[in-house]
Amino acid sequence: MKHTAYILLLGGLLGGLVGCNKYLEVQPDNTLTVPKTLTDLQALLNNSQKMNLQRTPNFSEASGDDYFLSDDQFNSLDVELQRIYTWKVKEYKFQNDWSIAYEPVFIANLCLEQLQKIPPTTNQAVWNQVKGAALFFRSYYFQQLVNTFAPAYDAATATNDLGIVLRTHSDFNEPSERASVQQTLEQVLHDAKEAAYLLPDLPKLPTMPSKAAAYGLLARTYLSMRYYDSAYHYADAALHLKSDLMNFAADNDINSSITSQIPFRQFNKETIFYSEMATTNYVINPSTIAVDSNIIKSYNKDDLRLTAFYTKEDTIYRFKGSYTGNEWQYFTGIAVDELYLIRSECAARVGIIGQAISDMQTLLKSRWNESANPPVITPADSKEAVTMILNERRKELFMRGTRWMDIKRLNKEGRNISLQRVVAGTTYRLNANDPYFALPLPQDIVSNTVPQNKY
Amino acid sequence: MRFIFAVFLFLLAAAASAQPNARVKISGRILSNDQVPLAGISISAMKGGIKTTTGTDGTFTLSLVELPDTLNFTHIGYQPVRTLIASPEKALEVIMNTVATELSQVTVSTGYQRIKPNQVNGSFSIVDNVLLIQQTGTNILNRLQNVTPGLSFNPGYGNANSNNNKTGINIRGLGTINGSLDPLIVLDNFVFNGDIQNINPTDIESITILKDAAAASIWGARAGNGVIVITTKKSRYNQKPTVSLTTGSIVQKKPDLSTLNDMSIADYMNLETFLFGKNYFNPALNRKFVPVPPLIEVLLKRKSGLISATDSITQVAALQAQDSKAQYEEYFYRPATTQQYSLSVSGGSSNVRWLMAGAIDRNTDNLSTRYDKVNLHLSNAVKLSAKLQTDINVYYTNSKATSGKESFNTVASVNGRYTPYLSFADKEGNPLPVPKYYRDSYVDTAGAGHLLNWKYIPLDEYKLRQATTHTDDILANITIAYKILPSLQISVLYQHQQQRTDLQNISGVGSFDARNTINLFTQVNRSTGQVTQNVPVGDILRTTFTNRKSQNLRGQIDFNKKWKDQNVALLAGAEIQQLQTDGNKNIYYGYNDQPLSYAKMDFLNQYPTFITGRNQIIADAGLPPANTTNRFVSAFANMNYGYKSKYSVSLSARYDGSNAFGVATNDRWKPLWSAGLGWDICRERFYGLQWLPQLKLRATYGTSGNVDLTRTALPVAVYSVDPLTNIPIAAITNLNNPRLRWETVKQVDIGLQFSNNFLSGSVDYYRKKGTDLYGPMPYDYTAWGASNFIIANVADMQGTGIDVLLNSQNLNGKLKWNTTAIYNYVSNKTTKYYDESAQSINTLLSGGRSITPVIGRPLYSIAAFQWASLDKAGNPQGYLNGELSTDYAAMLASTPGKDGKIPSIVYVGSSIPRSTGSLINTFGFFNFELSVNISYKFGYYFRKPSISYSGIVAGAMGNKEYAERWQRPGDENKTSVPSFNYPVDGTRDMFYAYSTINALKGDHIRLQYINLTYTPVGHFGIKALKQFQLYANMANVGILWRANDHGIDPDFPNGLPTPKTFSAGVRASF
Repeated sequence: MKHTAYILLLGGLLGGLVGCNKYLEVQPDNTLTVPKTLTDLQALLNNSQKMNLQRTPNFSEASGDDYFLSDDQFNSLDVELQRIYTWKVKEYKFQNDWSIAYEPVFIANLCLEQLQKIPPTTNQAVWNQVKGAALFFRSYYFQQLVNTFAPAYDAATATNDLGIVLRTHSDFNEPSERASVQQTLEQVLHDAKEAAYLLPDLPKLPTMPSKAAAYGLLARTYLSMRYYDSAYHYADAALHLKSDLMNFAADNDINSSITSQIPFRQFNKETIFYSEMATTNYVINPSTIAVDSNIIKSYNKDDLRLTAFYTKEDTIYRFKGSYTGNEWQYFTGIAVDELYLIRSECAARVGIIGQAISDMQTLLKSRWNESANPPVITPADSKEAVTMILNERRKELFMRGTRWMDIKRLNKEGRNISLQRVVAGTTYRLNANDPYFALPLPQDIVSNTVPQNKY
Repeated sequence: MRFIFAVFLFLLAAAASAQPNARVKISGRILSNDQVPLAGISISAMKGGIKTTTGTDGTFTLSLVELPDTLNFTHIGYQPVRTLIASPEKALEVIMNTVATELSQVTVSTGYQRIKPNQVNGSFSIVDNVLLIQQTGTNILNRLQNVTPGLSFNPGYGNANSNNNKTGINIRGLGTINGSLDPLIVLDNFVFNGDIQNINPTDIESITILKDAAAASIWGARAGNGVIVITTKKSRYNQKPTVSLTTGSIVQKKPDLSTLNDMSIADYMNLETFLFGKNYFNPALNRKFVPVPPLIEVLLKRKSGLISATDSITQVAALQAQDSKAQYEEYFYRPATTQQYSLSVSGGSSNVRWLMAGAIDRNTDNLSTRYDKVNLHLSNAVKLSAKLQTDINVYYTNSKATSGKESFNTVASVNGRYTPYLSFADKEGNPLPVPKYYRDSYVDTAGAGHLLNWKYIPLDEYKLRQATTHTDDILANITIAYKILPSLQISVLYQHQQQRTDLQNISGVGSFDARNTINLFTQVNRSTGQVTQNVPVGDILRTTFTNRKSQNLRGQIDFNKKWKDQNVALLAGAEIQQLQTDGNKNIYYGYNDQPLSYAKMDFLNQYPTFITGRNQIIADAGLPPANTTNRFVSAFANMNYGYKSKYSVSLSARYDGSNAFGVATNDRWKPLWSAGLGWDICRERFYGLQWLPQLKLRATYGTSGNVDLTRTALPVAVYSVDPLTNIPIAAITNLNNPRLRWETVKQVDIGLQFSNNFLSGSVDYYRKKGTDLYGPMPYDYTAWGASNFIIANVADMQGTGIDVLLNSQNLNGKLKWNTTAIYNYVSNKTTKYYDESAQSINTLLSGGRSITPVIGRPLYSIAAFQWASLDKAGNPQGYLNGELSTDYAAMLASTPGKDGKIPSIVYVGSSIPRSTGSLINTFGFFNFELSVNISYKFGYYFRKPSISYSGIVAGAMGNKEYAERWQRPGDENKTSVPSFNYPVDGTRDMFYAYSTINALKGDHIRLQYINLTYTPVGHFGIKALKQFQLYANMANVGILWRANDHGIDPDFPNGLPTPKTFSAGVRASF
């Protein structure tokens, strides 16, 4: 009796424990998953909060010359933010443009690693799409980062100029190292080209990468490198896939009227790839910055962009014409208007003046008052055409995150764009080709292998 | 109780003496006062020299020579009992109490077994019913405050929404840095997973706190922070039906907003005028709908010439006469009230005992938030045979909580800017609108009559917008115990708990919330006058339903055997637990409850919003709460071996497993163990201390672990729906760290227990060593970007402490006077951290309310900028390289030099008290008993709130020291408050806030509560009344002494200390 009882009890207990490992296999939370399947990877890449919204650097745009702050506005900023405006940033820490742009890079890398464990034959179309999207996102944010933190591309010095950190794995134990500008841009171009090969022509949603977006990214990148023939080629290829322009006089994508506070719908027909500018360390809040008066003066009276993009408050103009459909965010993605401008500029540079002018006319026609026609331009030569197109570029791509890149590349060819700000009678200046055009890296990631830019 | 028992015996004897009889057999059973059968009790009859002893089950039989006779029951350690036997029929049941000098008369309940305190080697504290009822209120855990050694309450550190520190309660300081800090809460036999509010305090008999590794190790991996075991009341066998009634009410005063140390209204108005002059409000004014403070509206009218200078002065003066705080106190705050009623009936026969209890609570807080609760408790134990016993308990709680008024900070603000001169009601008390969300001039004209009123009226809003939470909680358990052999018992325990919470959040059509949503989605065609309301006019109802289920199953074997000199108590078993949650959410627009109807909505397409024209999706209910399933499997064993009642050895081991997510299979299991030794020195022959008859030394050692189930080694993605594109998305919320291991905490405890006729107590010394503790580790965030640190096993820590408990009986005559003194000393420090840079005390420049590991420093501690003085321009100065400096950024980045120069940053000290304790004095005089609890906290620092100019410019509440700021040269000799500079410099503000002049000693002594009871004798001649008591209590009485001379309560440095509460009530039993 006694022994039987002990044996039964112990046997029962031990038997129970054997089944326990299986008991503990159950998933604890139905919202959690260890990403393994193509669906999981798609869900990671489709997360607009992480991949598209408030992601691209604003430090570069805030350092640019399209806007100014009144003395009162300047004074209402904290001293740290004032330093951004006056090109005197020395040390800053997390959270910043650098950290914000590297998060989509991490997700892209994680997806690329997980993808290697999934046979493409599972679903070749989706597999290609996931790989293409991951490569596109990595390339897109590397390109944004190199524009902000590295000097302009110069074929002569690019192998020595410091670029950014090219992280291609998700393991945080792998040390960071700054690559050269040459290596950085090679990576950007390589990833974007492979993405273009893998992705479908047009996306289901503008937040998802597509072939058109990858071509647009390639056009933008080659433009920044001043390889104008390649930029032409890719802008042209992208425009073959999508070339819709909004008619500012009347369009479904315009909210009630072009003069309203938010004139354009989000995801309008010009949007090929959607991204927004980050708002951390935000100097360029749309409600506090004023538009440079020379830009305002440059619009023709029949140019609808003046009332679409700007609103007048007392004596100053404020920007309201973002493609985000939101009064607080700037659109920085790839859109058809930018591609027309790239193709037009590059056509002019490589000598196809006719194409350059017709692209410009197509774009301006869509921006013009119905009762009038944009003036017909006949530039004397390629150089004059380029200058004219660059002016249109500045008027069209206001606060689109491209101005800093333009200043840098144009100064490389002697346009000598120096920036100047006046605050309470004190003048601050940033001369053309100043080393500060490669903006300082955050202090807390600087190390032996990630050196700070030299000023 | 003893008195009642004596009366009972007397009555029995008196009744029996009436019928003398011849030689008869008498049988019965002897139990301790906690129902444990007592073996080996000597029984002797007065007549005929008949003697016997009780058997292991406490029973005895003997034949008396004649009746009546008197029986003597004696045993070492128990008070002798004499019983007159008059009648032979009754089976006697005698209760014997332990002698008064025993440490405690309550048993230690570990949740697995109930044992006598002197059989335990581990360290524990017991709070009995007498102490528990000295504090009032509806939360049982709060009653442990200041009456328990080793337990500290840190107001302001806990957070009900945090995963790691829900309670703010620490048992013996900290054993982890980033792991969970909460002790494990056990109700009777099982881990309690419900809402602590659902436990009815009057249902609680006692609370045992298991403090060291040996005491807690039986609970395994989740017991690293100690265990609080709550034991409910049980009835007894052979007990006459007893009815107990308790009623009480509590009143809490209104909070005092003047303790906020705010700037004066005039100072705010001057600041706003100054900022207006700097065009600070222009961005807001340019967006016509953004509200500005009322003063700015006046200044703007004057500036644009709409009003005359005289009008302007009059209007400004009118605003200055308004006071948001005074108005809020008058129209929002009400004294909080609580009413508690409870009734219980219990009784028992020789083989059944039962208890039924019910309680009703009604609470209304200072902001009219209501919380009503009903508790029911049924308990029934049946001895089916001599070997088989069942025990069934059912607890049911039903509660309803209704939201109240909005907080002061919510109401007294205009577009997020704190505005101290608002008016919430006119002279007749009629509610007034406040321009919190939109500018009056905009909402007055915007809709041209096509919109709903768009004004926000705070005094109406809470009536129209209410959140009601209904909770149903049922907890039922059953225990079946079977005695295979007298020394061997097997038992099976099962518990099921289900808590359903139904939250209904209704915004009535009149509420600002509903009107605002409707207006935003309204489009007015100006030319046709056509109005399109994409959100229909009607109520908006949001519902959330959550369901929590837990199930526990335990099998356990108990073996207890005594030989001549030895005894063994063995316990082994296994347990599985499953916790499940699920729920759903919904939203109804255009909701109408009479007749029931709602509107179908389009949540897919974007609609233009009224003010800016921006297109937005109408908010849907969102993702329902996740379905979660947590499973735990454990095996445990506990052994206690005693030799000659002098020496005891205890061993405990436990093996835990869980289904933690993303954890590799072999990391799911964690073995933990502990060992202890006890030595009753007083039983040794050589022991000769007559004045101290009881003395026991014990020592334990054990390991406990900590696992945070949210930390995973594999990358985990959380699924949701993209708010922009409406498609399923996933996000990585934690960076995967494949090198993550379990935290380990090792603890040594040495304790001494002693008692004599007037003094008893214990002293414990312990040492805790935590290794592989989780901590934030800065890393190269280029790798991930979403955070600048990751969680890794980065730190080791060490803690030492002393717990002292002393009970003394100072006077025991007509005037009785007892004192309980509690003293705790805790000190801990980080001993290892991931790298050298962590030695920088610069990271301690924070509020001191979160754990910041710096090697050699306490886990909660603060450092400060060495303060020099104000310079001639009113700038705060510190030291940089030993020189006076105002380069704040450089001082912040500086590292302490070894050159002997004055450093920029100095270490200040611990920010939680090292020495805490309390002194409870109880005076009894005739029928009155008065208890006074004085608590103290010593050896720590806190930051005095100071003026932040960047804060007040941005619209935060200021500090009254603004009035003392540097204003003109020479002021630097009178004040240390920096000048107001514009533009503001956040780094300068930070320097001042974190400088040594604003780091104050937190030491203070507080009068915690005063409790007065009156127990009339004779009970007004009502015979049935067994006990009758009236009580009155005053709590949160106030600070008696504080080290800082700014009048700041260090527990509430930002003001608004818990207001005083007064309670009174009756306890009676029949």
